[in-house]
Amino acid sequence: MDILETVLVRNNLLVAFALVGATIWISYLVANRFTAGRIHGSAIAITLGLVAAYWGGVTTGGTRGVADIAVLGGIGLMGGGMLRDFAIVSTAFGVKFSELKKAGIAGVISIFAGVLVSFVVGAAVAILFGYTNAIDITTIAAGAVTYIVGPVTGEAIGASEAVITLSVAAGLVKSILVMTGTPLVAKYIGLDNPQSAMVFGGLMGTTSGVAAGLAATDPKLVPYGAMTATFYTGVGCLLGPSVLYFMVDSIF
Amino acid sequence: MLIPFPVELDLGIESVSTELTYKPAVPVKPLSPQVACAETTEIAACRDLGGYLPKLHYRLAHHIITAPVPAAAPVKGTRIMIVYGVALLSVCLLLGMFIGEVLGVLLGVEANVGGVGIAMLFLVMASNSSRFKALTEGAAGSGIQFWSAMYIPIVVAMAAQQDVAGATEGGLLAVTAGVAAVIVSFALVPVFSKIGKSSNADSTQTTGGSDA
Repeated sequence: MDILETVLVRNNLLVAFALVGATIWISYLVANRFTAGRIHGSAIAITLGLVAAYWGGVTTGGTRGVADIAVLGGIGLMGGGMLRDFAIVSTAFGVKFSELKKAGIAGVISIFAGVLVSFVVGAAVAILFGYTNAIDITTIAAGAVTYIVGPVTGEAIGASEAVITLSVAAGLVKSILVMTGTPLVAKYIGLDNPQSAMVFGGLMGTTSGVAAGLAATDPKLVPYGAMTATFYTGVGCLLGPSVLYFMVDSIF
Repeated sequence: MLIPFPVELDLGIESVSTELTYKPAVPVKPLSPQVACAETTEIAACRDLGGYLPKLHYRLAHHIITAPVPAAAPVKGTRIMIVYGVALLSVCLLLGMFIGEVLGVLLGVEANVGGVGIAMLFLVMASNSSRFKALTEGAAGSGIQFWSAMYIPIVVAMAAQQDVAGATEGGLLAVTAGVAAVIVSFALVPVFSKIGKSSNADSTQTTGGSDA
């Protein structure tokens, strides 16, 4: 048993490949057999991943889902930032430049609008829950932008540890909801062409949420959504501790 | 070593289909293109492979004849390898990440500003340009397509390492803020898609995906 574990831990990236492969195989089987293809196989696989992550987080008490379990450490590398970005960029292969230009302006507008809208909604919820301090409201609102913008903003304007944790949690909820909710609402919001995918990426902004949400909806849309989504966090970090904070501060 | 290849010789008055053989002066290894000159008793053939020219030049008596490279011979592209595409992809991402970091520093932001998006632009430009053909076509292209096909598995692994437990521990405030932000953003997708379309109303794409 010890020998087996040593082998698995030492080759944990291969364990990840095998496990993810098996997960996807089962997911597509379930999608075809039981939902007659109505639910995308990758949507089921991503949901299974999230369920596993919840289980991993609860059992280990860590913050990296199943990747905190030694044998499954390879999941951390396979799904980590480096390979994720590598795979995202590769989806742009074969994309026509003209397609990007078509929705270019709408994409840029949607990035700024997306940051602003999520921030305002987050701020409103914070006020609704009784927060009256400008720093607290700004930090929680920035968390509703993404779980990176939240702590970056909070630390810049001197928010308390507890509020920063809250903002990260709000960002995580958003990211997970985009992952699982996108394939369900895609039909109703017209998410079926490159242009609306770019707008979608700009409005949602959470890179992991958009990456997974579009993968589960239509993998052909991934490059367009990811293209705008990757600018979102940067714009959020730019506006959060500055313009948006001053805005909130002037009101409270 | 004599290599046979079929040719069609256009002699001006008539064309002749025949099979010729040539003996490379320099030993030619299969799949390794290099300049090789061949001579038979009746014909001299010289192939210019250094620049991947897909033509053979024959000299028959006083005629100089150009014919396509026979399929059996080493053809263009054999030097292109999968790793070239992977290397191109890596360079695109590294460059994009670097520019994103520099942008972050310039803007005074503690984040990478659009590094991945910039990298994607580089890849789109490279795959649409003829200058980078050797890095994006054939085998090299499949080196990029492999990672593209690994996208969903990587996203599943990404989902499996999200801090889902942390999200649920944030309590009602975090859940409400996250859910509300997503619902409002979802609702705005069709609105902004329309803005994009009306600003492009003059171009040809008016009916494309409007019947959603």
